[in-house]
Amino acid sequence: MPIEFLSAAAGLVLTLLIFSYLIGDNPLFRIAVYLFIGVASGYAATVVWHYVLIPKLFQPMQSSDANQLLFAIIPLILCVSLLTKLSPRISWVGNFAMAILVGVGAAAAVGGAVLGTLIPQSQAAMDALDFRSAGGGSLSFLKLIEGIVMLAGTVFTLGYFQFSAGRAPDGAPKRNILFEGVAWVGRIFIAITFGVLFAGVYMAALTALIERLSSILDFIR
Amino acid sequence: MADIRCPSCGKNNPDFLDVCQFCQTPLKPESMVHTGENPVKKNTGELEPILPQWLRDVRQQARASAEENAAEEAAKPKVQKEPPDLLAGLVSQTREDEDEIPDWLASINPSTKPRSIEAPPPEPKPEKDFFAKFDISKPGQTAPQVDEPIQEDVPSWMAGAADSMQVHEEKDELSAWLAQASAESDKPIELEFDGASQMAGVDQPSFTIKQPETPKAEEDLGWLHALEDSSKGPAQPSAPQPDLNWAPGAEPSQPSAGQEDLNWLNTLGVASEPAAQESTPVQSVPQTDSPDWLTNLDVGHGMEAPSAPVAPFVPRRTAPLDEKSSADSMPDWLKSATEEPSMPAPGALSDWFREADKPPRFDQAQRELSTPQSFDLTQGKPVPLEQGDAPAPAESASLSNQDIDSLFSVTMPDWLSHPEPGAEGAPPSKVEAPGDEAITPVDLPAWVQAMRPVESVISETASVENQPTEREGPLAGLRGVIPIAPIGSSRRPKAFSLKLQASDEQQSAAGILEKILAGEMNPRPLATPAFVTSQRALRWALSGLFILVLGAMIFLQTQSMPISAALPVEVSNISQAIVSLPPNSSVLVVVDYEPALAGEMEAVTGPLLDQLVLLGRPRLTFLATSPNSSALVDRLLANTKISLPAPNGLDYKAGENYFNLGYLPGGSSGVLEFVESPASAIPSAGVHNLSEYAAVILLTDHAESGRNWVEQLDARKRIDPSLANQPLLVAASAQAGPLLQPYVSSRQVTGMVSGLSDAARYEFVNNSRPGIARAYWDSFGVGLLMAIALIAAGSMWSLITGIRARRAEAGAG
Amino acid sequence: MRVFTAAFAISSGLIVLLGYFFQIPALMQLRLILTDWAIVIAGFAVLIGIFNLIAVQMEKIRTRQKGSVFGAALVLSLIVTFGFGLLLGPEDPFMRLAVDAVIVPVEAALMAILAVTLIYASMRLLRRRVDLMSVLFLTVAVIFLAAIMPTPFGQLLGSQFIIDFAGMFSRGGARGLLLGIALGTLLTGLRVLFAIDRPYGGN
Repeated sequence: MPIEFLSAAAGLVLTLLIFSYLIGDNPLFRIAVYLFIGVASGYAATVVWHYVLIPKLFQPMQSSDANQLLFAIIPLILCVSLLTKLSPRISWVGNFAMAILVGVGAAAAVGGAVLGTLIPQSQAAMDALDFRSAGGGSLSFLKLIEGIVMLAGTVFTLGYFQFSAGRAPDGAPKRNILFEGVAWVGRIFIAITFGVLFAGVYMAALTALIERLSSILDFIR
Repeated sequence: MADIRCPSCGKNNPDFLDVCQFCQTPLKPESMVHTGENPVKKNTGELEPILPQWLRDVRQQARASAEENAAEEAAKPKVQKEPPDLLAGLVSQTREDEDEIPDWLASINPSTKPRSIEAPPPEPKPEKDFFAKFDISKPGQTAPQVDEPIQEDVPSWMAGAADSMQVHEEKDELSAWLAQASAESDKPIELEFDGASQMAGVDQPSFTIKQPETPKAEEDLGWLHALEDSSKGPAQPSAPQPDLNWAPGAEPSQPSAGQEDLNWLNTLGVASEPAAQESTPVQSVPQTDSPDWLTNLDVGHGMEAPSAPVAPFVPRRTAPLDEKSSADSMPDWLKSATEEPSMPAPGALSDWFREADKPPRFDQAQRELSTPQSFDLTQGKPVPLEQGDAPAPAESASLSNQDIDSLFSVTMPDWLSHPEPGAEGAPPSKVEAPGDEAITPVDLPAWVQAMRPVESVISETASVENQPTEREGPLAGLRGVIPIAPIGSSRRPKAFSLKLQASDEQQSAAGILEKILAGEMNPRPLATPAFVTSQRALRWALSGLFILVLGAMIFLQTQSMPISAALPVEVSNISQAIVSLPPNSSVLVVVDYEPALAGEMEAVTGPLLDQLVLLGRPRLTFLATSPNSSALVDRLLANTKISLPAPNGLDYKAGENYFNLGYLPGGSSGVLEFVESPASAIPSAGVHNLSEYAAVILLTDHAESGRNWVEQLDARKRIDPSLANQPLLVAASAQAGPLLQPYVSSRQVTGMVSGLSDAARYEFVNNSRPGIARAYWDSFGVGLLMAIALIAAGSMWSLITGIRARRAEAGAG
Repeated sequence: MRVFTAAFAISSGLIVLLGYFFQIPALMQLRLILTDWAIVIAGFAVLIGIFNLIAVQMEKIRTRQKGSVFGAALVLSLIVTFGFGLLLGPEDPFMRLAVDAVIVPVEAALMAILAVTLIYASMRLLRRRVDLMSVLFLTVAVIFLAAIMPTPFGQLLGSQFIIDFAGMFSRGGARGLLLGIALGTLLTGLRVLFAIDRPYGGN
């Protein structure tokens, strides 16, 4: 039998098993999910082995270059030390590898957040008010309005997440009335944004449903 | 306040309580008098070491002056209510013990002089020694009869009277005193009563003691000598306890001697006193030649004839001292003894009372004492005890001398056995010494005072006369020793209400909680949920509706819904960017979506890749940021018909036209390294610099991972000018598009196609290639229509039902 | 030991962070080495996680817990897939079969049933909570869907305006969200670099 047929048949069966969840939780759904997890994990392990460990860890160790060899042994040692995380008693040995991973990741995140989002987005928020760059006319007016709205949305949304508050006479936390107003408007912007996001998620899920149904029907046909 | 845990119920009680306030169990069983228990005979001499040091010191000195204290206590009416001295039975001195003889004792015992020569010179302690004040100036006078046999006649209860005092000079003093006293047979001897009077708080009786008969005195002085010898044993502290000087431990091995030697106590109140035969340096008392306590003895009370021997073991009265009595005239040993506040060792006194029913061992006492007698201090003669008045206490200390116990049990002074009626609340009578020296009141230790019936307690209880006489146990014959304290008396702690002081609101809340807890115990019938519920039915209906309608639309393959040709600005930018790419260039395609949205992403990416491949035939380099995404490359190219062979596809071949670099781990760290040096991150990339790629196309279904690439690329562009013109094109899922829009607005992303709607328009402009979006468009439209209708209708229905439910709850509540 | 791990994290983080601002060749080289080690460790951590998954399921099987049968299926499928993957490689058609037959259909199906769930939840939203934000949320969602929705007659009138108008507000809100996320990322990253937070087990 062609392998494509088997693949399609398996896909069909598994899709129907997953769709059975719409009726209710049942063992068929669970078996499909557990099977998926196993295959996905196995494939992920294969990919890591072939695309990461072999080219970056084992192949450099076969090199005759001392520097390359040294730079391959250190990550090997770090990776082996990571195995100690499986045992609570000696898990402290893997802290060094985790420290490097966390430190590098944190620095990359900080650098990207500052240089890739904070500065450009702030600059863009200010540039949106530069109606002169729009060339003038009604278009510039619209651009100005858009810039003002976007700036306002940015500011009010950030203001909503400021939860510092004083204390009311009755002891309840109470924010400054100005911040309360800013937060209220920020909630409006957030509600609108989340409404748009919800629509986008639904559209993505709808597309996936359409794709699955299409594959089923294609198989049947 | 420290709490005591009840051994019975385990609850904590204040430490001032003797019984548990919850279950009435004695908290300190070892210190309680257990009535009704059969006394257990114990050798109290073995328990001497457990006594506190101060107690041992006191006992050593006090043994020798037991007769004086007994006389003093007899004159004190308060003593009648006092329970017998619990330490009376303590005997630590054995004949083998070679304790040091107190100085005062040594001074009166001439037989100790030779030994004293050998011993180191004693430390002068005249202040503490009772007899020291009687002029210790006749060391040479020693009793001729001081020898071992006489020492053996020392009563056992006196045997323990050794202390660490320097006994040598005092022995001679005592001996000299006794010798002088014997010589002056007609001279009344006044008892000095300073300390005792203060202790008893009664007037000092005037005791007169006749000169004892010589043979009798000599015979009776043996106890002193024996005491002297026995005091050479283990050193004993020199602080005598006035309460204990009459209660040395009795030695079982010396019953008969004790009987004989105790006769001097019997004759204390008569004219001739055996103890006064010896000339004693005590006679050198400044005021009189004889001790005040001796001179105070009333010899005119009919005690000329040797009366029946008084019970030598007279319990010391431990009543509170007269406040008027000054403490100045109280001998130091008595003073220091009374200052000891500590309690006796546990169990140290209990055994004393256990010998209560033992017959007296002293033969002479049995002979002389036909009936139990008590020494009447007021009369100075023994008074037979009334029937039924058991003189002996219920329990004795563990060190009680058996002989002394017997004596004590047999002879009980009237003041102890016959508590004076009406004298409970009366201030204790004061024993006044006729001399200038007043007996200074002694400070009783706390435990002694605690044993006394407190006036305030007694005042609350019935009078002694109204209280029944104890008929059994160690207190048999006594009345009012343990006052009957009604419930709620002052001896009991103040009763605190156990009822919780709670407000009405709190109580109502507690009642509610109680109901809830009670309800927890009641089994509730399990409500079997119906298999078909409204929620499940709605879900089934929705599922069926979607599947059926969309399935029908897909099955019909309708393409009736038009697609607008107006491209969004972002999509136009993509198209323009692709057009501007040089042909046969290298393009990096980042596969950053999961298999879940593979269908949508293939539909969204299709027209982009199709245009790209059609126009420039670039070398596509695919890189995945998740392990499973690396397997989606072939599927993507196959479904978008790029890898399909011509004429159906664009015939892109793996390894020739496109390369799959595989998986890039590390998240932002991996993106950072690849952006810095692609060859370092992926050795098979074949590219050393990112600028070698003409464009970067990011296929993402998640805003977070897409943001990583945008940030790192933008950060790199700030450093590497060669990347300034490299376009970043994004094909995003509909769920990621809105959050990536700001990057498009800020021109960090050149262009973006988001969702099936943009993809359909882009595909339409791209000559409907590859056609995935078009195939989904009608179904997509119907799906959106159903969603709008269902959301609108369902929200209205939920709103109405919710209002109804809240109104119903408000009405019911 | 805690000091050493913190020193490792801080030093490696500072080297990478400084490379964003200073283009010193030695620093860049060291930065490259550290990031290379980091992605190797991250890749190996994926294997550690998969191994832990096996261990957990094996424990469930050993102790005969409820659902251990499913765990056995998981372990079996994992071992078979990994075994074939080690032998054949991820590019092998058999491995593609695993992806096309199992991974994609299951994940896509799970995503598909999300569509029904979202509609069901949105229908019941106003039953639980009725306030301005809920109504505004649903209203915007419906309007946006309506604006995008194709009809046999084309798009609805004013759909583009609605899309642009709603998009304008959503872009403003999205920018605010992105800035907030960036600020939070900055704060969290600095806390790690200052060793205030030690997620690597150094506290």
